[in-house]
Amino acid sequence: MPAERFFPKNKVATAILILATIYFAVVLWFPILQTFTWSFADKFLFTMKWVGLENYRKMFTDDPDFIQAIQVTFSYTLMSVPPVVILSLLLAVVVNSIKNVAARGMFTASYFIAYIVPLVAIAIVWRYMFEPSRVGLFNAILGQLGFKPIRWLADTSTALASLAMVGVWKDIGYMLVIYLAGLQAIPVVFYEAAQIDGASRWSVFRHITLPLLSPTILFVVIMETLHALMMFTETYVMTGQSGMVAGGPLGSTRTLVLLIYQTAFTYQKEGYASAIAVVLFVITVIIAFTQFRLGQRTVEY
Amino acid sequence: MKTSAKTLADETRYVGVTPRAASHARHRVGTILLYLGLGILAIIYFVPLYWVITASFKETAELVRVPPTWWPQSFTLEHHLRVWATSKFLTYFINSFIYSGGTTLVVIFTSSLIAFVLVKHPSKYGNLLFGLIVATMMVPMVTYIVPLHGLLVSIQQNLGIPMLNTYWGMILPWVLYPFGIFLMRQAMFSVPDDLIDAGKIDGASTLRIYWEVVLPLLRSNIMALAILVFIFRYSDLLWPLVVSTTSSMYPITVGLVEYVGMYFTEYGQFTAAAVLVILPILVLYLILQRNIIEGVALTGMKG
Repeated sequence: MPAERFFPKNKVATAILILATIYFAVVLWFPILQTFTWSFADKFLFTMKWVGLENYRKMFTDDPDFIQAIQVTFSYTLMSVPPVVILSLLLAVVVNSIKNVAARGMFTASYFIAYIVPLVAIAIVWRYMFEPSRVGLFNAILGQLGFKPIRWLADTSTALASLAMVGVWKDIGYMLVIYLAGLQAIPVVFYEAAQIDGASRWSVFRHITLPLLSPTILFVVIMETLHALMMFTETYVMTGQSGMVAGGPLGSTRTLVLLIYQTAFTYQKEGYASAIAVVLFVITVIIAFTQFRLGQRTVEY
Repeated sequence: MKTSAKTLADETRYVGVTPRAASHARHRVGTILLYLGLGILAIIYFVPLYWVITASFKETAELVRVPPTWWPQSFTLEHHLRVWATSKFLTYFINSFIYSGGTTLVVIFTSSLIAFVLVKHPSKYGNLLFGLIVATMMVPMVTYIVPLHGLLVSIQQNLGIPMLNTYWGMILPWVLYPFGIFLMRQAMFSVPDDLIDAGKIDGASTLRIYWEVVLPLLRSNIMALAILVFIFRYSDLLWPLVVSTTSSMYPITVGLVEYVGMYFTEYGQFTAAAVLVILPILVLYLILQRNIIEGVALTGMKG
């Protein structure tokens, strides 16, 4: 129903709305704005000095760690998003074609486990499986197949890809559930029409499923991209013996989020960390917005 | 559900000119292959869990054997016992349950109360507030985590309320939870206005109507929200890492990372520790997996 009054007639209801506003202002909106203001300062706890654009100048001209973190974050996004989006879509179509509801639920639940178990713990399991010696599960399998062992997390050229494997494994189960919800919302009449026309499986997928699922695909692409840009736990847990030195070897897995965390809470440069956070925020908004606009053009209803 | 359960396979089954019997046989072979493929994939998906659980019960001599054994040859509880003896896992567990349980309890009430006001006491201001909440809902915490930490510091300094390294500080950013409000608002539309009007006629106060009429009706939605919030907060790393500074305040995730940092060469011990952390969620998932999956499908909610 359209609201007529600015505030609810009921005083208690009005009070609740005001309290909620204050809470969000203090704990969410104000801190978001503060990230921007602090990015122009040199700050730690109670000492704060305005330095203008110095943080940004330093970041882009004088800080190889930051440039590397940008590259790492983008590479990770490129490595993890397409596999998740495509593999979970294929898996969803296959799972959705199972007629037996119980079997379908069982398969979905099996893949979803990867997403629901605490990432910190499962990342430790993966680190154990990635052990560079033959004690590690992956190298043991490679060895039995007659291949040379890979150094996985210990090698700058494979470390980030190893983390991406974990991310892909984990998120496929989650996106599967989202896709299945989308698939089940497609009206059966379309498939009935295709059946009358004698369409092949492929053309049903290409001309019915894909276009009608395109809003869900767009959602999955944006969500997964946001998620990849924010990667932190995997690298924090898997790439250092303790979190302080995480991001190795040689910074090859130091994502922007990890860099923000270390800059602010290990090196205690809150202003500089805020500036990096602003860059991450802007990158995220630009990418999400671009995907949304491009997606809107191709989404068919 | 009945119509939507009709799927691609049903619809394309009899397509083409093949005689029905042949089509049936082909269909059956296809189904078997389908189940086989999905089954193998599911087994691959279970490998990390299988690996960590079996490793935590293998004897040390077996753990360092090359190549590692697929089937455990030995059995010992030594690693599990040693985890309890050499760490504060009990404290970590208590901290985690206070952090995630406390957050869950707070969130289900605040979310449903605000949703109740938004839907059943509609106002322009309420719509505006909801719009702002939705607009900022997707902003990831890391982009404002530095000022959020600063907020705790200044509350502690200026108001004298301890915030850093306390449960309050950990729970503070989750007291009102945009996803929760969003989910409860959807559910609130299904609560009939008649019931609320009846309550008003009886002279019940706004809060009493919320408590006695609205809350019981939303029980299943609240349950779904509660499970998800609990699991997500239980798995949190970044925020507790920032707030908790001494091991007596670590939740299980931070405690685990710390523990593994100390014993990273003791495969038995750190796999046992990881199993401990996974176990509560695994049990919860086995019991409530339907609600959990449906909740995620409904909201697209992500930890």
